[in-house]
Amino acid sequence: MKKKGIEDVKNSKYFSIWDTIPYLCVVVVAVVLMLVFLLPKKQIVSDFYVDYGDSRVMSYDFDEDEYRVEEEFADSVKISATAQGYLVEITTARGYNAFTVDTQNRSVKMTDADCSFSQDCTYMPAIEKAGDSIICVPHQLKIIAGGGISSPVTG
Amino acid sequence: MTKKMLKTVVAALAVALPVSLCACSVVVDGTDVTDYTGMQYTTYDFFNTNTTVSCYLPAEDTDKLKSLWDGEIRDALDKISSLLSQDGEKSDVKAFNRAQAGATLKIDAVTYEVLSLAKQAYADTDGAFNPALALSVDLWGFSTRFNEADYSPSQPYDREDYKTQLPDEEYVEAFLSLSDFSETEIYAEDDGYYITKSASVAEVGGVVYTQQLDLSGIGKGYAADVVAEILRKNGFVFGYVDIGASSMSLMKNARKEAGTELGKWTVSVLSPTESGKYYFKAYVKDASLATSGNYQQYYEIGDRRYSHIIDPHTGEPYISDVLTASVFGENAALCDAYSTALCVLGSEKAIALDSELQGYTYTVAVETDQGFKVLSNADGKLV
Repeated sequence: MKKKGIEDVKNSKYFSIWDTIPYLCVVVVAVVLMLVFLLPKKQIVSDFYVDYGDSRVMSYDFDEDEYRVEEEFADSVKISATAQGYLVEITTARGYNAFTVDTQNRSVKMTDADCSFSQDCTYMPAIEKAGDSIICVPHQLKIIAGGGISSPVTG
Repeated sequence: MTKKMLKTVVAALAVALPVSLCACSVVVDGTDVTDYTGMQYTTYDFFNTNTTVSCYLPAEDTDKLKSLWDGEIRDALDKISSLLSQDGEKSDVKAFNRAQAGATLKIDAVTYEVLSLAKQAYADTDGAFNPALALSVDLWGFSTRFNEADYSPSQPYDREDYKTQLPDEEYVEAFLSLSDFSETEIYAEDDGYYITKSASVAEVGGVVYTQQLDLSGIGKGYAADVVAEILRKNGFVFGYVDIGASSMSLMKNARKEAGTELGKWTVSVLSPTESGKYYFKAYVKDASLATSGNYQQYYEIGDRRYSHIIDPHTGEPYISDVLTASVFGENAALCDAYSTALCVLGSEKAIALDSELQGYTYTVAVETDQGFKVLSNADGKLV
């Protein structure tokens, strides 16, 4: 190398600002991927279904705002429109349950039941993420949000 | 692009690619669970409550889990609940309760195992957990017959309305005198397992009563562990077994949850004072748990709350500053028994009990003027 060339290298910056761009891109990509794949996400409720014992009573799709009541339970289910969404009332041979469906916030909350003792199901937290469930044991009625398994709730 | 730039980009990609691959897959304890799917099965056929099995599994194993649920798991639950029920045809508990004082009966190995755990818990808690209070539970209106829609008084001590009328003191004392669980013995012989009933009797109104057992509480925990073991034995290690939300056996979690490391479940414990709220969360895997309290099954007469947990020292629904207790540990049956005992004992004795509960972590909500405070031996592991 000519002497002038060597001097040029010695006098130049250790690296140019443009050299850092690919590395910055790698860092950004890595952070984004971590956020996307590794950090926990709240699993939005896309649908829920209601079972009575082993039988499906009804289902509801939040994306389509569409519910389906199984024929066998057509006379057992009453659905009324509310300001937030729907009030669903289900009367089976075991008793009466009512729950609200908040279509904006995609949540479901048991609001009433005529089961004995303390009506545990009405005190259960609302369904707000995929896999959450509410069970009314005396009436064998279960509301489950599709798409996963809820974390354990004890009490 | 200069050669230098090209080299830099290639080097950057060489770093980015592995990072991307790592980020795309979820590996828990050496198992890639990225494509695992969640499945749940629930039944109401056992223990008068729901039993739910929740599992994460590869899609190709869904039929295997269904077969297991319909076969081995239901068979195991059926056997345990039948043997421990108060009124089943094959019930060892029913046979015991109907036997004369001092009688010896042959029992199933399952019943023997549950009774052995009950004996251990009875000793560990200095009698605060006591399964020989079935008569008192019935007297105060908390046995299963009171949940029936067509309930009507049928026993000499029943009231027209058990939620507004207190029982006669005579019965409270008589049934308490029959609750010494140490008087009932269990033992194994070469040809099987046996139980010898307490010889104590009590007479009220011309009716002779003998000791009666209620193993439903500890039985749920036992069943949760049995079902979890069946799942593990068949290769299902991601999920949990929940019996009535009060007894659980947890395996591993296949999903990342906020605030904890991969593989652990976030267990939310319901607040005893605020409907639908949690008062603490615990992060656990491969462990069992149980919760007892006075805020779900109870009635109130005057200023007093009468809950379903009977104090073995008084024969009455317990009065203590513990509103609810949760216990985490290896064995769900013992968790069940310990959580009941912690409620009965109250906060001061619960602290003293710490050394007896080796390997078990508890958290209790202690009533205060402002609501409640949380007491735990978990060394800050709980939040």
